Amino acid sequence: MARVEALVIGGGATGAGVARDLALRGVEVLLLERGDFCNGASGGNHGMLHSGARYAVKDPGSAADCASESRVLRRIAPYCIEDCGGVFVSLPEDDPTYPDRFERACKSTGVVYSPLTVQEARGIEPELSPEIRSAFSVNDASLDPFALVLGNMESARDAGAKVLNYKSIQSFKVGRGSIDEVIFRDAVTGEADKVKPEVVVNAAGAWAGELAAMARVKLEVQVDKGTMVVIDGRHTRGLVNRLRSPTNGDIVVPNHSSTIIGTTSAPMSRPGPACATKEDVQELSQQATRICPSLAKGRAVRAYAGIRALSPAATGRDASRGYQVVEHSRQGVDNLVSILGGKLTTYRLMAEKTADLACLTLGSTRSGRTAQAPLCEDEGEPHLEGSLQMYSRRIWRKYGPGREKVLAACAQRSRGTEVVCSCEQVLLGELEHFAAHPDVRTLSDLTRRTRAGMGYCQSGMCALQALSSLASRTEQDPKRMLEEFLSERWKGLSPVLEGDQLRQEVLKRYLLTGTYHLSIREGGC
Amino acid sequence: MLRELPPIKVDALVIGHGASGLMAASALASQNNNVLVVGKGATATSMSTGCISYIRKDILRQERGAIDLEALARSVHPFNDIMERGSLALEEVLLQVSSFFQRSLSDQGLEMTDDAFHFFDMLTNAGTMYSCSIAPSFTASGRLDRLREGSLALLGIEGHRDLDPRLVAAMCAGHVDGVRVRPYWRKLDCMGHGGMTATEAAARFKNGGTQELIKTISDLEEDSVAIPPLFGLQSVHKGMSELCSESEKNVFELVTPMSLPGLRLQDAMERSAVGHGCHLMKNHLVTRLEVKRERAVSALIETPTRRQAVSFNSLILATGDLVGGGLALAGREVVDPFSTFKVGWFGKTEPLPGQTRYDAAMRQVVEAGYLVTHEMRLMTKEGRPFENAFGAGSTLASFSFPTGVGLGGELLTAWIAAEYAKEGS
Amino acid sequence: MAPFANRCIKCDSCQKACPVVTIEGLRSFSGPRGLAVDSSRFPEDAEALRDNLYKCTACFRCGDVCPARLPLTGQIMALRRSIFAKDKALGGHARILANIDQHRRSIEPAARRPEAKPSDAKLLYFPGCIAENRLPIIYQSTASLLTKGKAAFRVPERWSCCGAPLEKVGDSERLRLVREENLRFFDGFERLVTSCPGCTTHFIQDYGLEPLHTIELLYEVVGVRKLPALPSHRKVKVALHQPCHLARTVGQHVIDYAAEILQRLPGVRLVEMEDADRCCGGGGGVVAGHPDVALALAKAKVESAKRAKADLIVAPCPFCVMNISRAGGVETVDFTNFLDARLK
Repeated sequence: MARVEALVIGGGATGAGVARDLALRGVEVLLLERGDFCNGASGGNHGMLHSGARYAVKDPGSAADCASESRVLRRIAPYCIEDCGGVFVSLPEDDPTYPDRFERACKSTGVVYSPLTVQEARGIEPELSPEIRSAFSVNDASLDPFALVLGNMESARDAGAKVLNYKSIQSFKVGRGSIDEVIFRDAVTGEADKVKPEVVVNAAGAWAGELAAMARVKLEVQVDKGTMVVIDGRHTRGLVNRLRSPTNGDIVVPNHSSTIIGTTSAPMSRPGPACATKEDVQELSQQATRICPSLAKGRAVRAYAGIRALSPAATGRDASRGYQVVEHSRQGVDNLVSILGGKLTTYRLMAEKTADLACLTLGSTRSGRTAQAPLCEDEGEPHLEGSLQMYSRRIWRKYGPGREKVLAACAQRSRGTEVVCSCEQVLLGELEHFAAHPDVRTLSDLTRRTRAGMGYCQSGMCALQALSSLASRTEQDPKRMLEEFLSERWKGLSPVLEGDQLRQEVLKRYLLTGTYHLSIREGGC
Repeated sequence: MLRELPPIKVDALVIGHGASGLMAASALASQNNNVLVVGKGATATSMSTGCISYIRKDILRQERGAIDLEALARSVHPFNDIMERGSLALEEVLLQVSSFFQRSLSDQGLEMTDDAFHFFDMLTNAGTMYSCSIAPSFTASGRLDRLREGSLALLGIEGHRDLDPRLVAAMCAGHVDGVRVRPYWRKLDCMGHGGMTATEAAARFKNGGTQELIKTISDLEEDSVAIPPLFGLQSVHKGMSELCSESEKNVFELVTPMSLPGLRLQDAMERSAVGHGCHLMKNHLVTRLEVKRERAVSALIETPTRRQAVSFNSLILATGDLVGGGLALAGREVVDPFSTFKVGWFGKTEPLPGQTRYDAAMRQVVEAGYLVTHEMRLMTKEGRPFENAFGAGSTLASFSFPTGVGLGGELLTAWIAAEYAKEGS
Repeated sequence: MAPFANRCIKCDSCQKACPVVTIEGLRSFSGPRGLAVDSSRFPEDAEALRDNLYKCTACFRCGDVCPARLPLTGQIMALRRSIFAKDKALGGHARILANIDQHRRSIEPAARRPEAKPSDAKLLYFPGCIAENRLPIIYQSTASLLTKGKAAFRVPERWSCCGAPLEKVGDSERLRLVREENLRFFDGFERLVTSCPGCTTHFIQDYGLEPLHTIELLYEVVGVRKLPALPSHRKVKVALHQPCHLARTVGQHVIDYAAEILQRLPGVRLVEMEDADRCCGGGGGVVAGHPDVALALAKAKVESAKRAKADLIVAPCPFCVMNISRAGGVETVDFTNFLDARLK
């Protein structure tokens, strides 16, 4: 591809949203992501569809955006969302003036809320601590970021966009006041390529500053690390937030078959690999247990960290999670648009604003229609025959519009309905379908899309099956792929290893290292 | 209400019915001791590959009966230290143990290869290499050094998860040591769909899969054929022999953990212990242990409805590790569920050659276990050796697979424990 | 989410040990881990698993092999209770409930039943629903053996089903009802003896009593080994089936007693049967709820006996005798029946 109208760099929610938005406007789009999609903040968050309540007091602008956008997303991407609702609760040690401020702020920002008595709150959420003092119910929901981002990518492709992962930008050729050419390389094969874009969208998130620097544009990005812990099983019915000024460990989110607790906030000097630490895990567990005591008996199966990019307004927790769309003509590049900050919930709005600016640069006057166009044509759960019936809802929630092809793979292949991951009930047909997909280059790519290995045994038992599906379709050394994968998994396991998860890991070592002599590279990021 | 059965008295109580417990019990019983073995739950042995090495590859020279004493001296594994300081000569013990063990298993229909002093390489069902000295004969016939001529067919049976020929072929890149490897998936009418456990596969196969499998094997062009495990202990020898003779090919099982080979080994060792005269109580839990200073005196055994006290002259604890269920975890710390014996680990040991390098925290847990003297005597929490209580197997510090010297090393500790336990009775 | 489920480390031992998974297949039955551990993580599967849930024969083998000692069978029964509380009975179980309501028996009472034997004996014999109605030979043989052993006994004039089938159906209300009635009807005794291991286990675990199974009583108290045996006119090869509720909950010792008693009988040769301790399919309410599964397991049991070249299967449990007999192929008799016929 020698030329393209819009080059979008960054395969997280924002990049995906921009690619889709532009493609739906008839713009020719190429999206490049240097790792697998959802590499950055989009792949390391709680999966909250914010009602806006959490930001009402501190960041009313964001709160209002979340309130309206969460309604839009429910309309356009219902399969990515589990509309389980949420509550905000306060404990005796929390600021007693906060609930009033919360209520006023929700009113003024348009965030829907409803006050609850303690009994009512515990009626909705039986696992809540008996110590709670005040409570509100809100329209929070659980959102699957991978399904959302991949859904946007597929929709963009359907509208004609070219979307590629594992392509990393090598350099920009900046001519007279604009980026003339972009050179990029395949991260796996090393093969180089180049493209001449009319406009470049910098949706590289935490790396936006580093990317802009390649065009000799100075862009200050504040990078912040947040840790989350995955607890096996669903401990709450909906989301639970702490009714206090946002602090570490305020949030409990049900996500598929697990519960995610989070988060921490720590500034990073530059973007890079981020790992959860034992200390983070301990702090989060302590805080979350205050809200839901039953979490103390939960089994932590993994911890992960995501890095967020903040707009450089203030520092740490108080930095706005609002967003900024910037063009750089005053800095000598007139075809570069950068988008910074924001939240998963408002990705579509950010993408629309970014696409508006990009279109201006292109001289196009078409307006966006992503608020109206659904990601998936039909909304309901498919009705399936026979044994597939039991899996229908999960397959719908994971794949949305892509489910027909996945179901066909399950139904038509001879072992297609064999359950290969018993923790997450993943079928062999699902693995086979995605293993053949050109986007899938590593085992993590495969398990990310299918959720295989995300359960309590953390790929102990299904890693080999996933490898079997992928190995026959790649030139890479399967043993190395497997060892890379297990080493990657280890990063998330190491901070939570104790009790039952430790016993689980001991059994896995018996098999993987003891019997099969695979090496797991240990050590942090 | 738990009903009290009349108390019993035995010469030796062995707690734990895995390989170590059953070995110690068999050794004692074969010397006319009255032995009771009490166990509960699936043992790690039943999840093992059924293959055994007694001692590390680098300690043994390839000449039969030769132990590299220099390597032994350099080695820091506590077992080698135990052997050096003990009165039993390592080579002698190895010969005694292996002949006793192999004879006992052979009496129960589990033929094993017979050389404790050599190692050979085999292929696992993940496509990786596995070395051991002793293996069930129908797994050992897949020795790579014997497959040098010709090519190897990997025959996966649809629904049987234990062998994915595509995975194995990919992992070994289509050849093993010059032997060409080809994957095949075949469907057998008698098999279930949608995935079977190994025991389901064996049960269905028993109901008439033999002829179909013989034909399938015969139709392959290769002379050597690897199949997933399909037989229980009672039928493995007959079944595999029939497959080989009827198809006129070298048919063998790949090394497969968590499947029938481990269950067969467990079954064979249980029968062997009973055959030697042990009384075996499975599905029974020892809920209390009574000790008086450095002497273990009695224990309480329970089922969901019955309770029985047993007093004994000597006690052998072979309860396994975190997988088998004998050691407990409090957070990240390994503890003795009986709160009686000293548990610890040997400190910052470097992994032995060929062993896995673990994360420090992980290693501490995996290597922790009961601490014993070179006579396998357990210790009080203050470190005083017991007169009549011994430890054996993976429950001992640094013996847990794979940080130890494997299943064989555990059998050796069981033998030594039995030797010293005998002296005390 | 059931907190005990955290201890599962996916060793698969329970799935490999489960007789229903082994004979019926994972396709048809998710297995102990699937139902007790994994299902709580996917509440939306509850409806689909509902059918599955009633195929468990409550043989306890899963809990026995679990290295973490998870109460798997107990959890499956708890799931049945919660389904029962919402939806009422599984189709095939409706008959059991109707029989309890009308006759206080888990099955249709026979037209002619053995008479109650009132007396002031301190030993109370509880025959159980099957021994009274379906296989009265068990009742008669037990009475005969106790008489031969000079053990005076009485049978309560009124009694209700012990309740074990109700536990398997998930009906806590009726369970409580029959328990309260029985405790009244039993009205003072020194020792309680039962024919059915299901009753024995249930009396221990649910009622808190200390019953003996017939074999325990015969061996330990009545001294049956000393009773004179009839000379044998032909040799018979016997395979001893080990009922789940005897071997696993009452205790291994009962099986040892049974084997010892049998081996002493003239003309009797005990042959070793593969999977002697594997469930025959008779328990767990499966005969009523999923008769095809119960039959498949029974057939597998008969196959094992055939491979051992047994002439006869002896099973110390009325449910086992009843279910294995449905498969045909090898004659199956109750232990007391077999023993009584060979003693003077």
